[in-house]
Amino acid sequence: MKDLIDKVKTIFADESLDLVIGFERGSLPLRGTPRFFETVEDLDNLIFDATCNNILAKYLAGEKKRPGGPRKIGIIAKGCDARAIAQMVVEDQFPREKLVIIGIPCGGVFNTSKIRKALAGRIPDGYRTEKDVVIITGNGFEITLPRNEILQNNCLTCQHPNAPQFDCFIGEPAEPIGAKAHFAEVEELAAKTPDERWAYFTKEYSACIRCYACRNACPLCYCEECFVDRINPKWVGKGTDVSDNFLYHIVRTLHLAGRCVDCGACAAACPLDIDVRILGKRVEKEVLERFEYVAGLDFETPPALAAFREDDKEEFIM
Amino acid sequence: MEYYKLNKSNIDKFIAELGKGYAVYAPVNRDGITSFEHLAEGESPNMDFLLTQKPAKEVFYPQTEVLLRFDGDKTTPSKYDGGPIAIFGVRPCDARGFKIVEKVFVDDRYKDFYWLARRKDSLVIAVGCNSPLRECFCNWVGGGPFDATGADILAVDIGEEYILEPITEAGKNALSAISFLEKAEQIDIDKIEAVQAKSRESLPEPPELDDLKACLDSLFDDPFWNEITAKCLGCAVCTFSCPTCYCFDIQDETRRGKGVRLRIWDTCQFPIFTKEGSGHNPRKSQMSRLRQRYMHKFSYMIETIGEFGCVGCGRCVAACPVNIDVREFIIKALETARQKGAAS
Amino acid sequence: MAEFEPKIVAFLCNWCSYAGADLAGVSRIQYPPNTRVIRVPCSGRVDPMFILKCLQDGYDGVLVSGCHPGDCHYISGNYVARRKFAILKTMLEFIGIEPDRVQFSWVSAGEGEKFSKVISRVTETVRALGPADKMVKKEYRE
Repeated sequence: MKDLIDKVKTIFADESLDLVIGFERGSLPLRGTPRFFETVEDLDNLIFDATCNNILAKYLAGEKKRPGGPRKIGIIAKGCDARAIAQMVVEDQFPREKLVIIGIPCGGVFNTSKIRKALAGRIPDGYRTEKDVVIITGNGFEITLPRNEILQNNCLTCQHPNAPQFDCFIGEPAEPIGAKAHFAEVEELAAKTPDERWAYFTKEYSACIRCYACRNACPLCYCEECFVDRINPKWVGKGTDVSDNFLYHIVRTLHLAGRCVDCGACAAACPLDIDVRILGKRVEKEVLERFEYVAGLDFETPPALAAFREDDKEEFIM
Repeated sequence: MEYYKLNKSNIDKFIAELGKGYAVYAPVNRDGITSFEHLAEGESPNMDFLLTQKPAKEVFYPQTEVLLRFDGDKTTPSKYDGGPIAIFGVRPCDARGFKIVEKVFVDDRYKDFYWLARRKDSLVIAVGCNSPLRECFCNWVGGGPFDATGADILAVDIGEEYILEPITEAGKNALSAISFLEKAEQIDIDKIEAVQAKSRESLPEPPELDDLKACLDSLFDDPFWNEITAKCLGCAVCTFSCPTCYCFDIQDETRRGKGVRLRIWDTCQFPIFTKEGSGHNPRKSQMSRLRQRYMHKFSYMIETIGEFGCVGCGRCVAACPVNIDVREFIIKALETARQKGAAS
Repeated sequence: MAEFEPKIVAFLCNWCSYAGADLAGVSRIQYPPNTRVIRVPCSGRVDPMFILKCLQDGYDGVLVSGCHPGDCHYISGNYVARRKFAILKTMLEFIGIEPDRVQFSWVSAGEGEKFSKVISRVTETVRALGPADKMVKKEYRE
């Protein structure tokens, strides 16, 4: 960690940054948390490990509205975070020249729900990693868990653990975890009957309490007025009727079509472990196959649904 | 004082007895997500975890509730009529939360009939906390792992059994009506002391909060709020998980002349909460909205109901996607105000 | 027992499909009366949200029809729409809604005959699926 801190401190000084957005230790065991480092001394608190699951790109959107405009920002970017950043730059949400993307290799981040279930009521103190396992310690116990069993689901299928675009890269690039095929979760669900799929989505979305943590954690949901907040016309009812919950999740996923980078922030933010990602994953597969497009890989390519080809497939048209 | 003893293997029997006079709600575990639900016939509660993810407040205060139905000119009020409710297995923080929101929903001038329909004649059986979690801080705000405020019966887990202590008249009557329950012996009652002491020891020493309101009132315009609120996403997780948050919205949903009027949970953390008809929004920034939440709970509610609007359950701490910790905020606020005070 | 008469909404673009529908009428071509038409300036105007709201409201089928690719009055509206609709159709199928409930077509201003065939086909397909039930908002209705 000292090496990381020293390198970032150098970047802070060399690039005359106003701010570094990174992580520090959280207030609970096995949690990291975002932190805004405004001075070189502050950076002594910088960390990067498997507890750093939050997506920092989220915080770039608000910079536009600052009096005086966006600051010069260094941002600690694991692969998915960096792709979200690139997508935001393509969509004009943050000026490229004010950004210093500090790429960092990512070996996957913890899923707090999976850990909580594995602990079954025991209260942890801390953890250490050894090869492919994570050893969680607490008062009078120690449990060893295979690393892949407690990572976020999007990490298991991650294709880009390293920032595709960066200004500096600290460390050796990581290999994708490759625990599952890229679209394994989609294929598993697609193999079921339509009624089984409907039952699955009904079960997931019935639990939704419309807290919008998924939307608010998403780096690419930056609209000042979201469709759910419209009153005239009231597109979606504001209660928790399951039909309204479906409408919210479907339309949000549609608005992210061709833009979502599967950073997993939505599913991680959900307080009820709803499978928020799966619908977007199906769309991601379609966008790749139909339009040969992957979001967030560079600063130039326009998003798939803001473009077209005259010979786009239209087999679905009557 | 009569204490009763309930062997854990008899919980289902106990609930069945309660079920004769009450609709029984208890903690359940659905795929790892825990909440209070009306137990189906023969369903067992799940007592394996300390605090439910979904707050107990939703038993008396559902997230989406039909207030009335209308069809043309005809309106039909809709109200809970499922009989008196017994909640088994709330923690003392949640039980205390019921008493706090009661001050909001019921006072000399106004009574919330919808909330009261579920709350009145209810029976609250709280279970004390033998192993508080890292996020628990009930002892900061006047509560404790075995505090009986808001409970009709307090249960203490001494191993194989719960010792049940009636706190109110209703609790006493309920317990004496369950014939299979044995009276607890002194030897059992003596175990309570040790369990409680061990639990209290594991909770860190709370800071002095006597001057928290005064400190916060002096800090309204202080820039420290920007630092504290910077990472907040502005979602509703903290407010929806909170036992003492009660704000709601009323929405009509119509379709060709027929419809319903709904009451639904709302949150001060969404921008449209304070958006006015003109388009002006007095709380445009997320800073001002999170400041509002903390000022409300730790200053304004002292003025309106005479106590903090927080029971220290820790749900907001555990559930916040970015790990905003209200305890860190409290410490920082006290520090900042005291430094400012010392400087002036 | 009366035969099930589906209720279908058709979003028709003003310049091509709506004109095509008009031509079908002027030509006295018979086609099933189950469709309610909503005229839009361009198929690109159709927000997928409209289609979902129709399903939520209890309509049994939705059709969106626009100009043939290359003929859009606004040059590229139908190209952009084509991508949106491809994604929407994928999603609806994935969540388990019968794919034939939501259909898309290109009908030009001179294709009165084709329009009537499209409507007939959609009507019979949706009739065979029965009343829509999955996305319908029913929770608060007695």
